[in-house]
Amino acid sequence: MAPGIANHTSIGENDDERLPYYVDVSDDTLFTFEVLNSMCMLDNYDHLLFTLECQSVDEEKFAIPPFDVLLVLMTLTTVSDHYKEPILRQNDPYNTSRGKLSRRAFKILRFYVKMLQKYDLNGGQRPDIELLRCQFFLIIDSLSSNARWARPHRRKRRKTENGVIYNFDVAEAEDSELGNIIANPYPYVSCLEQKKSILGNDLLSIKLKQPGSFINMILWTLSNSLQEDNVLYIDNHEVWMPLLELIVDLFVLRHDFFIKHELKSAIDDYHMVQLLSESPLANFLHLIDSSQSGISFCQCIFLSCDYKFDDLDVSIELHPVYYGENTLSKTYIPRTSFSKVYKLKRSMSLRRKIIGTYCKLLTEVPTGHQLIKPKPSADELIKNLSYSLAKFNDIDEFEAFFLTGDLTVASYFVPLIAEDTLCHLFSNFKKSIERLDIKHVALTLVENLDNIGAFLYECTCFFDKGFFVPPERQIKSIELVEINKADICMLALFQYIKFLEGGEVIKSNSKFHDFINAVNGNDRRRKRILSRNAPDSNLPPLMPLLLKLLKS
Amino acid sequence: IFMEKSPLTNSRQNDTLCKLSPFDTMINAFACYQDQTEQFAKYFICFILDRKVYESMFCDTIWCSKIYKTFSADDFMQQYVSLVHSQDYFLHYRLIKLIPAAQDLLIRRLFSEGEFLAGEQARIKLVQEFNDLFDKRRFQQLLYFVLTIYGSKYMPFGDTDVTLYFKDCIADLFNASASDVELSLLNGFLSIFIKIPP
Repeated sequence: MAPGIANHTSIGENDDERLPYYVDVSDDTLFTFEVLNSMCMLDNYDHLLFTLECQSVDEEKFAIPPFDVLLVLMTLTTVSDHYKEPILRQNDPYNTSRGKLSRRAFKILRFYVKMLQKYDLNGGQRPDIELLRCQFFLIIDSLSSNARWARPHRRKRRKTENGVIYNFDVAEAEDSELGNIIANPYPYVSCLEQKKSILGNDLLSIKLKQPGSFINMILWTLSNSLQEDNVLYIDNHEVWMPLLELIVDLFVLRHDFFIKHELKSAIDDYHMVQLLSESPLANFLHLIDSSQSGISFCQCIFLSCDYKFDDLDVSIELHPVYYGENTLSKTYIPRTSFSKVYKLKRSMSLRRKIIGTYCKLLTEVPTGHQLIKPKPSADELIKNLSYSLAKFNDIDEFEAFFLTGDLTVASYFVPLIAEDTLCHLFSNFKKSIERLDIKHVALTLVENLDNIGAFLYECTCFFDKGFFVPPERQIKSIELVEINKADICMLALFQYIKFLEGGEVIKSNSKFHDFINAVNGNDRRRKRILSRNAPDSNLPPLMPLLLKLLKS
Repeated sequence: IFMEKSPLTNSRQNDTLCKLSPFDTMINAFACYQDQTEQFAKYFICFILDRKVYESMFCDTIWCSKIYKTFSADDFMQQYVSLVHSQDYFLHYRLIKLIPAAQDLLIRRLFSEGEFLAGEQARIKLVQEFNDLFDKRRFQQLLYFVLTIYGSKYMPFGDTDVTLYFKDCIADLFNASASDVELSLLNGFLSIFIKIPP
């Protein structure tokens, strides 16, 4: 059936040449597609955004942009006025709405994505939303299918402070094969056939398909999300962090669809693993985790955090995605001051989000099997992440990772990481005190998250025996950080159990009283030793923090 | 600043040197005061109409509409008209861009003078205002007036007689060699309104 015929094919009826999420369009919609496309052709972005804005006020009735226009919007998001002010002013001199084109484009995209997320939750039957989803998926599939283009990112044998080398030359396109964008499934002339760049920026899909460019974009974002240099941070805050979050959200939506509708065709576990390894989300993560062990994933995901890699001499080389984005335009005056707390919060929630997608993928793997790519199992992933976290030197970074972000069911992996990190900390700490070689401490805290009594009992045992109480001797500052980190892991676990069960339920448990006494005793012991051996330390006692957490 | 009449219309200057915080921190801080003061609606209006806030990445209809829903709509409008002059269409437009749900109410408030505003009658009033601004050659106000009213139940999108009339008026003046930039912008927007399905 040719597209253009007003008929909505329900999901699942899938011809061979048809994409699984394909939805036929009506003539009216096709007309809208064409109108929007012609606005792109004319570089009339104000009108394009205006048209979409007029029709995106409520979720019942909205204009559906075709995939090529969405791609234009995504690219437009990168044309931020912090480095492209003159060209933006030229394109929209009057600026009727007093909004910036890049932000308006982003707001529309986010409106759509939020709508898709809500639709997925409610599980209704809306052909218009499914058509919109189809348009986004066309883009996502094209981005992920090209993961083979992504060479392992360049590493250099050079010693740098945090494993990053900045190179401010934008990589030149090396391949001539950049013309193939997304095949247009509709019978109209897409603006992409002639337009390869938006206000001087290459189309995002073309850009990201250049070898190594996608991974560079991800690393550029992660690295700059904790950037102290104001210009680079503005670049990150205005363009890349929001855009990468959006792309990750889209990959998650695509993955949910894949699980729901495409994985059903798997005949056995083996086949299922094969399908999963080829899924869009797997391709995306494989891009980040190019090594087969999960170690490079950790290096990427914790890029620019303050901790020591095992392989000190290897640094990742980064460069800006678009030319000139690391310099401010002459008329742009930066006025916003970003606090360190703010940066940490946003940066860590992005990192957690990406880790979350990885866990999401791995939970689908049948037990006893392993993906072909990316290779690590869920256990290995968690182990690697907590191994790195246990080495964090900066307590604020550590805290921001565990104690920010939303506590939805989607963050089930955080308690696992917290527990495993606690194990690492335990064995490090014991080693430094007793010179004992303890390989692994077994904890069952996460197993007991649904059993408050057992959970509290296990914690009480720790605190009775002395939970990270330092020895009677000169205490190094690094040891204080370790103690602090252990407390944060504890808090993270409590935060999660509170989310599951509610603070009052925990407090009214019969074991709670013993637990409180044990923690208080532990705080007193720590205080006594610290006041003698490290009088300047400002380690906060754990008890007030715990009570505060359970109260609110 | 709340002592004057329509203060937001009268004083548009701002402190260009003050440092700003990221918007998402601000909204969290802001939402804390929600139940603590009766003036909250007023502060909220001033806050979202501020240009820097309005254009920031995270100030969107979703958040603004969420807060808007916590007010009684009539009280909100009462506060709003005490802050903004009734012909300040520039700010009216900004408000309805942020809170589309307020559009019908705002138009009713501005043009009804107390009585209930029925469909046909409303259209006549709106056309009157158009003619008035048009004859006085206040084109900037005209531009924002048109942007404010479209999409409401009183002035739907699509190929309507009123829109064609507006377009004719502008085309006439255009031919009479008036070259105000607002007119050509209006012309463009009206063409878009015609194409949007009602």
